[in-house]
Parts: sequence; C-alpha cells; structure tokens
Amino acid sequence: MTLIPPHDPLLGALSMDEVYFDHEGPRLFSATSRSGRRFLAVAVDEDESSETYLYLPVSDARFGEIRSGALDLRTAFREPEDGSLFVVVADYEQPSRNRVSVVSPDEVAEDWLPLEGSRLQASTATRPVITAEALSLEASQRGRAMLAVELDPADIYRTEYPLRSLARISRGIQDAVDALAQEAAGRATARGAIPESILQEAELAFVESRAASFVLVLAPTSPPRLFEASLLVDASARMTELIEAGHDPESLSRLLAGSGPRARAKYRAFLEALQDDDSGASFWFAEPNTPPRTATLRREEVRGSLELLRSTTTEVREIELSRASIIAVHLRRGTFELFDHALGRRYAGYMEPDARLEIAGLPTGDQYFYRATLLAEEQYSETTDEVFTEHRLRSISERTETGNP
Amino acid sequence: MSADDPDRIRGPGLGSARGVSTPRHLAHPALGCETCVGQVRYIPKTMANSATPHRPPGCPPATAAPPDGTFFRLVSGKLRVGEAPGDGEWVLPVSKPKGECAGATDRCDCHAHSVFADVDDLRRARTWSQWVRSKAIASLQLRSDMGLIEASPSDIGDSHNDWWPINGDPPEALVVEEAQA
Repeated sequence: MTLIPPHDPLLGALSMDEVYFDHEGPRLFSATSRSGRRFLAVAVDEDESSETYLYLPVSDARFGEIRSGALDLRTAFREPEDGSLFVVVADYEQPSRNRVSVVSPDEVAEDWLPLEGSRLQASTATRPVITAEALSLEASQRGRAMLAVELDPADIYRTEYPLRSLARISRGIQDAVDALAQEAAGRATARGAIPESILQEAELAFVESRAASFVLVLAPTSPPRLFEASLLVDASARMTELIEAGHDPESLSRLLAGSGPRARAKYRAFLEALQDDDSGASFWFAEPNTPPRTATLRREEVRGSLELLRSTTTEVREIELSRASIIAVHLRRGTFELFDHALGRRYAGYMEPDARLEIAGLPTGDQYFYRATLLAEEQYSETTDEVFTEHRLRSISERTETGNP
Repeated sequence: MSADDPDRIRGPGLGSARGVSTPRHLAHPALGCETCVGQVRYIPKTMANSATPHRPPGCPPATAAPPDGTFFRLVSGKLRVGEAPGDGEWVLPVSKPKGECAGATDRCDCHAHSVFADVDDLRRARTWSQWVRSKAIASLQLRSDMGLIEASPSDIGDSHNDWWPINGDPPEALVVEEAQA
C-alpha cells in the first residue's frame, strides 16, 4: 500500500495531482482530495523506516500563486491560509501507516522550510483557457466577430501581463488594424488622420483576458451584425495573413510590397512591441458561423519578420554614432537616451533586446563615450500630417581608442 | 488503471506529458522479457543473493535507450566530496524497505534509479526540500552497455531520467557536492 499521498481522516483520501520533483519517489508535489481540497507537499526528513512530509493546504488561488512563482515556497509554508499545516510521517514499519499531526507554522523546524526566495515558476493558467474553437462558438453565440491575440513572453508564468507592455501591444494591434482597414476601404494615405468612419468600423474593444499564456479577447465596438463583411473583417484577415507569412519570407515580402507605408509602419511597431517583450503572438479571428482563422508568429520568427520588414523599406535606416554618452537608461521600460557629441544631438527611444543586455551596467555621464548603432524609423501621426522619426538602440559598446576613465 | 497504463509510471497526468507514445507493454529487447520463456532475466549483482522482484511485463519500455554520458543523483548525506557511493546506494527503489516503491513490483519506474542529466535540477530542488539538502550529489558515468534509460521529466520539466541497470556492477560514481544539512 502506498502511503504517498495519504488516505487519512484529517487530510481526506488524496490522489497525486502533479509532481514537481521526483527522486525515486515524489519529493515535492501537489495532491487533491476527493472533495477538491488541495495540498502542496514536500519531503523534509527520513530515518531507517520512515519518510516525513509537510502538507500545506492551499486554495486554488493560493495554489496558482505558488505554482507560478508569484509566491515563494518559504512564505507559503510559513503563512498557511488556514493558519496550520500537516506533518505526515509515512511509517513503513509493519503494518505501514501514516502518522498525521496538525501543527502551526511556528512549530515547524526552521530547516524543514524551503529556503528563502525558492520558487516553482511553472506556467500556470490563472484564467479560464480559450481555444480558437471556443472563440468561434462564442462568436456565433454572441452574433459578433471576435478576435483573440495570444501573447507568450518567456518570463511570465501566470495569466497576467504588465500593463505598460499591454498598453503598447494593444495600441500596436489597433493602429495596425486601423491602417489595414484604411487600405481595405481603398482610401489609404501615408499621412494625416484616418477618416472617422473607418476608425469607427475598425475599432476594437477589450472583452476579457484568458489563458493560456495570456490571451486578449477583443470584439468590435460597433453593434453586432452591423458590419458583417466589414472593414474590421478585412483588416483582421490581412493582419492574420501578415502574421502567418512570418514563416515564409517570400510571402511576407509580397504582402509588404502590397501594403502602404502607414500599414507597414504600424505593423512594424506592433512587431517591435512583441520583440521588446520577447513574445510571439497567435491571432484567432472568428465570425459567427464561420470557421476561425488562425495564425501564429513564434517568438523567434518575430525578429525575422522585423528584419525583413526593415530591409524592404526606405522608411528605416541605420545611424552609427562614434562618440556618444549615455544620458539615461530605463531597463524596466526598455528605453534609452543618448547624446551624440559629434553632431550635438540627442536620441531617445526603445532598445532592442541585444542592446538592453549590452547597456546594462555601463556608466552614464558626459565623461564616458560609446559607439552605438541606432535605427531611425519613420512613423505616422494619428492626428496630423506629421511624419516623425522614432529611434531604437540596436547596439552599444565602449570606445576603446579614447579610453573611458 | 492497468499496469500497462503509462500514467501508472509516475502518477496521473504525466504519461502523455513525457511524450510516451509507445505502449509500455512492449518490453525493450535489450533487457529481454521476464515473462517470456527462453529469454534472460536481469538480476542486479548487488541484489543477486536476495529475492529480486521481477520487472512487470513491458518494463523497461521499448522507448528506453542505452545511456551514454554523465548523470547525477542524490546519495547518502554522510558521503564527502570525492568519495564513491557504496553498494547500498544502488538498491533499486522496489527493493528498499520504505518509500512509495517499497514492494511495488508492478511499477516499472520502481525498478529504475533516478538520475538527472543536469546537476542544476538537484541544486534547485535543494532550495525546496530539506530532504534533498540532507543528501550529497554524486556524478556517475553511464555507458551504453549499462542498461537502458528514458527521460521522465516532472510536471515543470527537468532532466530526470529513469535508468534500468543491466548488470550488477555499480557505475563509476563520485560525490561532487556534499549535503547542505
């Protein structure tokens, strides 16, 4: 008879849920009782004939926080939701049995607890999961087109997304859809405001977030059924094609050649937002009673799409700075500010992922000089005729010939 | 759940996650079939004088492959760096007097040792569990003639492997990190 996990009046009849560490037996795992009560268990001690485990009762919400790494294991065991946990000694002396006792965290030997800061960090859906098929069904039930955008950054373990990044990506999606809708309407312009009627028809609303990883569920703000076969449908279809073409440079080149400068710039800005978050994206677009259209751009394909987009346009050029100083760096935001001593000019913007690694730890100030490569990218105002330039830092290195102090 | 069910190997929900597509009842030919007449049954030398439980049919699975390279496992916390783990460290889980594998002769994984391809998985586990901290870490060299091995990562993914030894000689092993507690 196995003693792990136990069948015990205090804990319930437990069955193994997930094993996080196994060494000739589960050593860190979760188990659930028939009534749905969940425990996180960790091996803490043994002797010749027994093994001792701590069983921590956890709510679903607390379990999601622990599993994803938001809550460290030591804190979880020190601060149980119910104020107590269980010491379970699996005793293999015949007849084998579990000896279970309820203890407060204060009664637990300090060295039995996980170390400070130890975390599980397993990808954990903390919102209901949605699939393309489910989205399609929902679109039919609502009688409304639905768009879902799945983001999968490498370092996010819960169904959550940093608001700053989400704002940038959301704007990237809407701007690209607006520009593609303008093209679909046959009224593409490189400059100036997009006509109100097109913006209205292409406007998306945030409906909810779903797992997994993090899915933005969007829908037209326009009344249901009003815009069937609308600009939004056409724009979403074009967006899906662009995403899908990320696997095939030839198709992507062809699609980009058929797009105007505004649409290219907006799609580029969307890809850059993805790249800066180290995320790929999947698009699911569903109309009522129609099979969903899906496309996926994997994380590693974002960079390829961006490079192709930049190389096939005159709207992006590279700038080399030979004597620049770092005025400011915000690693969290991913932004930089440089001063070019040669031209007496200031540059600011987002940093490419490689540049973020290079710039970390470099001293700032006028006495330190660096070589830097920037991208100067044309971007289009939403409200005026203005075309402005955005800068991105591609690389930065210390000048060796001058010798920084 | 039957003995052939892959989920039986390490607990519910893990069989498919490990990508096990070959039915477990297809025993690996290199180790023979214990239930088949005319084939050789493996008995580890360290336990040759004791009652060695037979492996269940289909164990090791046909998907297991000969090992090759350096692996790591937990051994007695009394051992010091540079010491070789003794014979007692190579008792198969099924033959131990305690643990979930004690007497579980029908579980294939209980006839295998846990070995890790990446020592960092053991170091990380030390931050979680005092039981792990109380153990030393040994490195061992496994060659292709030393049995069969199959990756069996946990739910969060790691380099855990089940290793079914083919002869009784303990592998070359040395403690590389002492216990922390």
